[in-house]
Amino acid sequence: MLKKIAVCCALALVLAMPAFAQETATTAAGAHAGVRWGVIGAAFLLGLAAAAGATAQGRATSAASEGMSRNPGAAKDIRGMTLLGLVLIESLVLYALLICFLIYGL
Amino acid sequence: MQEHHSILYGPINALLIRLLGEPPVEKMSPAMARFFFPDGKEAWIPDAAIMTLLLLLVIAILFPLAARRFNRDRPSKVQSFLELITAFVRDLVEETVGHGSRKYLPIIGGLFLFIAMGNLFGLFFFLQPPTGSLSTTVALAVVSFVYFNYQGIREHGLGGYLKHFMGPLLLIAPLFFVIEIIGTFARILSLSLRLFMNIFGEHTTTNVFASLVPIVVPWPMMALGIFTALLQAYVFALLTAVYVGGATAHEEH
Repeated sequence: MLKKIAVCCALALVLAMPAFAQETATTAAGAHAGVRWGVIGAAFLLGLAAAAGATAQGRATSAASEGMSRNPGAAKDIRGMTLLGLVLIESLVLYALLICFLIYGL
Repeated sequence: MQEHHSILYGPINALLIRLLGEPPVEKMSPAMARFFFPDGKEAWIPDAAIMTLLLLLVIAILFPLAARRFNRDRPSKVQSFLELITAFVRDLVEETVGHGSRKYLPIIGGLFLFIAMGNLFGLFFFLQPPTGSLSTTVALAVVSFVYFNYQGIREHGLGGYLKHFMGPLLLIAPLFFVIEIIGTFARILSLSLRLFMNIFGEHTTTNVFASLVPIVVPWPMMALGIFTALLQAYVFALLTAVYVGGATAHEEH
């Protein structure tokens, strides 16, 4: 049963290959217009924002897990505060994504 | 990236164009035309507005219909489920705001339900999430902003409420006042942008995945979409409750 699922997933990924080929063709055509500094800036911005966000969320989750394991009675309060903290950190990453969308003109 | 409209967008706008003619885009300045008719000449009502009205209709019809059959001693499954949701929101408001939480429950619960159901609209192929448009989320954030400020002014009076912005020391009051005012207005921005970017980003990414491989690959993104939909509704309600609690807090001792 597991092998069937694995074969189907591999087949689906292989079937997606033509779409990847089409992507690179269009970007190669656009590179003749000169260096697009906006796109480079957007890529760096999003990578940096995602890295910083992931680090912060990792620390928050690890502190929450440790707190819940030390004091299982307070698990409900800790979970509430952890979710709030994670969402606030995530929203900062999403502000960076918004700027990238604006750069791309979506 | 071409637009994907809901199933009601075409028929309703076709009906309105047949009844009223095309939107009078030439008779207004370009800025006003972009404000009132964001889709230009082809649509009277944009997708987000149609979906909001549909959601309003669904909520206004379904919940009173379900409430008609409520029985205190023998709750049906629907009633138990709805009571679970109500208890969840009531506990959320109670532990965040503290005293007087009963009167804040209706609007915070309404925000939670509206946002949760609106976000879940994004999972259906024939619907668009109403919160996927910046207009809806800014409107919700403005509702939340007006509500918590109104509660704060009602509790403390206008002068008393503004005194909260002064800060601890009288010496740095001007600087502190400016910082607090900016921070309070930034709450509209943060609430609306958080909700919009989560739902719009999720929806767009799922569309991109579905356009590449329509069968299995969008499913993890859609599962994440369900989780994000409920979580964002919870966080919006939680933050509104926190702001209400902060605005109406009485500093004893």
